Amino acid sequence: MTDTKRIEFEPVTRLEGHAKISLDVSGGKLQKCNFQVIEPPRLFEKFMEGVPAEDAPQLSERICGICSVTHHLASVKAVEAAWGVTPTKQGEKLRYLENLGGYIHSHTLHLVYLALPDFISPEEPHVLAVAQKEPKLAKLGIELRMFGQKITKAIGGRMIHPCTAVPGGVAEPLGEEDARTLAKEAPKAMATARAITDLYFKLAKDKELFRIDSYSREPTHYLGLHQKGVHDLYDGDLRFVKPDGTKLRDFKAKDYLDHIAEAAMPYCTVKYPYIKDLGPAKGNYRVGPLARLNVADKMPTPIAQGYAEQFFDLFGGRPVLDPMGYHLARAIEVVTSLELAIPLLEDTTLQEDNHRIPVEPRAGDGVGVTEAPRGTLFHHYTTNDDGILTKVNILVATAQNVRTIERHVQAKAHELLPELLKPRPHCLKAVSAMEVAVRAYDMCISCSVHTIEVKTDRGIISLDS
Amino acid sequence: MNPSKASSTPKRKRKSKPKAKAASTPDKLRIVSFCCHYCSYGAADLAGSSKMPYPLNVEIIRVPCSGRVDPLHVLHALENGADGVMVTGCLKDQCHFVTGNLHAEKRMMKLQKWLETIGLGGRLEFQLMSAGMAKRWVETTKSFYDRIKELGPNPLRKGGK
Amino acid sequence: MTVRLATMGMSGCSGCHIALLDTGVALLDLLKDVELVYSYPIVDVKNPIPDNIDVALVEGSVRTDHDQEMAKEMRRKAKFLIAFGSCSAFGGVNGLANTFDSQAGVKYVYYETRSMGEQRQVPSEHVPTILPENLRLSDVVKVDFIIPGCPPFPDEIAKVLGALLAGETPSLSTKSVCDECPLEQLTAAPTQLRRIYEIPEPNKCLLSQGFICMGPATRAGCKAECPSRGIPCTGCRGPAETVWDQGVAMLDALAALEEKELAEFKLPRITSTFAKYTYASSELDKIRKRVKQK
Ligand code: SF4
Ligand code: SF4
Ligand code: SF4
Ligand code: FES
Repeated sequence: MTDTKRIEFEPVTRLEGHAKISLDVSGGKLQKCNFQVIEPPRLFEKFMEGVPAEDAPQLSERICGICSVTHHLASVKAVEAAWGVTPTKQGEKLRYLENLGGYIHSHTLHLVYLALPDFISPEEPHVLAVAQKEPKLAKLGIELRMFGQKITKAIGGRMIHPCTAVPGGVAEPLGEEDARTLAKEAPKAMATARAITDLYFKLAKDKELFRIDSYSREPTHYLGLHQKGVHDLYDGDLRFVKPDGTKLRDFKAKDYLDHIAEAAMPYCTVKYPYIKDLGPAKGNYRVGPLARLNVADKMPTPIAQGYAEQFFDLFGGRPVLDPMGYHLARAIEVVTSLELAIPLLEDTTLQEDNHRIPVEPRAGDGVGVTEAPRGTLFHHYTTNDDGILTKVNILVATAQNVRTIERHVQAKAHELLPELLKPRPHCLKAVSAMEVAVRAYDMCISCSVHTIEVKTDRGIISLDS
Repeated sequence: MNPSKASSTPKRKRKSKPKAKAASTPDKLRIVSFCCHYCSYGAADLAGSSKMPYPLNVEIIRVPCSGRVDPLHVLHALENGADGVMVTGCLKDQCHFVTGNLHAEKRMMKLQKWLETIGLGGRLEFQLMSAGMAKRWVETTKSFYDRIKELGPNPLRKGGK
Repeated sequence: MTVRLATMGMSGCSGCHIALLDTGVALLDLLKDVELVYSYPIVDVKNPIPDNIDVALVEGSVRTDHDQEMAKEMRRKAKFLIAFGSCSAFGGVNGLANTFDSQAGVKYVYYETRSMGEQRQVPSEHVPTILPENLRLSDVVKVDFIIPGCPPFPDEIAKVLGALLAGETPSLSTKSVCDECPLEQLTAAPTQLRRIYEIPEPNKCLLSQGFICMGPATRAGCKAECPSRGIPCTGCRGPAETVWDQGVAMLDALAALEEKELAEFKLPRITSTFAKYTYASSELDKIRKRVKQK
């Protein structure tokens, strides 16, 4: 194999974090196609040991600057589970709202800034071109994302890496004025969210443009949170759904180790999570917006429920396997986030003084789970008598999708090989076709590699299938 | 302007820096001792004038109060190759600046712990004594010297200045 | 003349890039005269990094040989290189990994974390090396300016970029977070150290209540976001203009403040409390690296 030629496309763009696609070609045949995560290791699980547990929410959120809210909250939930604390009702509501703020920001970022260019200006796919073609939409998109950020700031103190979640609740109640201004902006945000969702549905009608059916349909399992079958972004039971859409089982967050395990691969620095009893080969599953919609029986709010029905019709029923379904599911989640946030902004109990209770640190073991925008997120902490962390395990959203993303990329590479072998810039269109699939998952590599790639920053996924 | 530089410029000028001259002892171990003008400096002086022997490795830097010693002074001494650093101040309730010695003690105790993380544990010593306690000075320096001897030279010394 | 702007990420969390977007409408104004020539979250430009970059914002710390190469390449191509965010400027939270042996950390992750199934191995093929130390950008290349913060404060980003685009010299606040803090500053010394799970009295300086608030040693510019919410400043903006070493300065200040020594500081905690974002650029770590080399 002396004539093996290696081609690399780096970085994979318009996603959060660093990755590249590489091809090994010999004799005009594709030997190997790697989707390589090159986000470097940062060793969070190790350096959090010995740190007071109440500092964890502010430390672990530095894993990811896009979904820092969710990390912050999963982390404080894990501390509370370990210390045997139940936060106040108001504290829970504040966090719930803060989480929705994170969703509005993160999903809008992806829908408008990162993904939309592929569909409305495929020749020149970047957000600045969108700003030229659809100036109104671009501006509304910016405003909607900022609306989410403002919710986060109002409760979390900071737009990125919030600081206020403490065991027992939230440091301060929602300010009256913040609530008022946000409630005033909310209807416009709602209208924008619907406009974006409508636009995506419109785009999706054109199957070719939206690339429906153009990626491999991986019959994977799905994982997501739900409350008695209703879609939920913050709390509840976990559910695995089989590739045919029927329920595999429900389980509690604290038992996650009985159901999920990770496998290290020789070429891959991201560890692959899988359903434990099914084993690494058969237990592949996906998380994220599409998984959550496939898992839940229904949406918590009426408008979103309407969209969800349209969505399943469009793809011919549940479960949806096509990766492009992620975009629509994501848009539907923005709508539901706003529908849920509006009543909370008007809820004056959020401004009361019952946001926090005193707590005592103690030895314990606790799991905190939330749905991050990109999928289910687990923080698992053990503390000693002083409430200092002695053991940390974090299982992040994106890692759970990496194996499926790899399959899409490989399938595309086989299909488009002649194109890919052309010199630059002629090959870039084919590369872009591969990236569109990666992007559907809204990959957040910063997360997936929070520690995982230690020796290695180039997570290599081998093409052995 | 260059803030990346500016931010690392010290506001306070380093006053005390171990002298670069080689120690005149056979084993060349160097101990920097920050002595408070009002007490431990007097104790050392008394020990000297009473001809009480104490390790010659100790290089004394007189400071107005042990509270004047910034943890950075200690770090710089170690960075520049001191094998051990002693900080000594007045007895409890006798500091001329009221609480300088107590502050110094707290600082140095935290710093001691921090030094352990970087493999320089045991190289910092804090003691209180009055100007008349020449014997205490001698004992302290001797036992600290013994400890440093056991620890061996500061790993930074040879390559450094 | 349009300015050629690039942004790049090394070992970070993308938060600094999001903070750039959070400048919102100000960003659109700024970008009017700017050509964004390289920026993975926004434009589809692949490596190699384009030439003739006027201003480059570099996020993240230098954790691997790949980061190091990219940093050097960016330096060659950029006229004005900005360490963007505390990871890049001071090493960031990633620097806490300098308190243990990285190779042990690697092993821990692939063999010992609790969710590991049976398939355990340290990936060994086609993988680049993690550097033994987490470095800040200026340890590797010359840096022209820093924008501190984890992440930087959007207003400040807009101010610095605005100044640069106008051909002026950018500047940062020279004050400390305390100067911007709205809480009532008390002179009383705290009688005990407290942890942030304890509930503070509202509207009073947190440090004087015994919480370790890094405000006095930290550079202003964030409008004291955290203390104004009753949460002690963790020092994310790095040392204030007049402070040499943030952690040491704080240790120094604290000794003068607290009256009784109560806290039993365990080792990792002392580092994560006093040098959460700056350990990799601290005096202590400098000494540690030299000790290790010997
Ligand atoms: S400085 Fe903070 S926000 Fe920026 S990359 Fe580092 S951890 Fe993320
Ligand atoms: S709370 Fe913190 S920032 Fe505010 S005045 Fe006190 S020490 Fe300074
Ligand atoms: S208060 Fe401190 S930790 Fe909070 S944003 Fe400002 S500098 Fe960062
Ligand atoms: S005057 Fe001697 S220690 Fe303060």
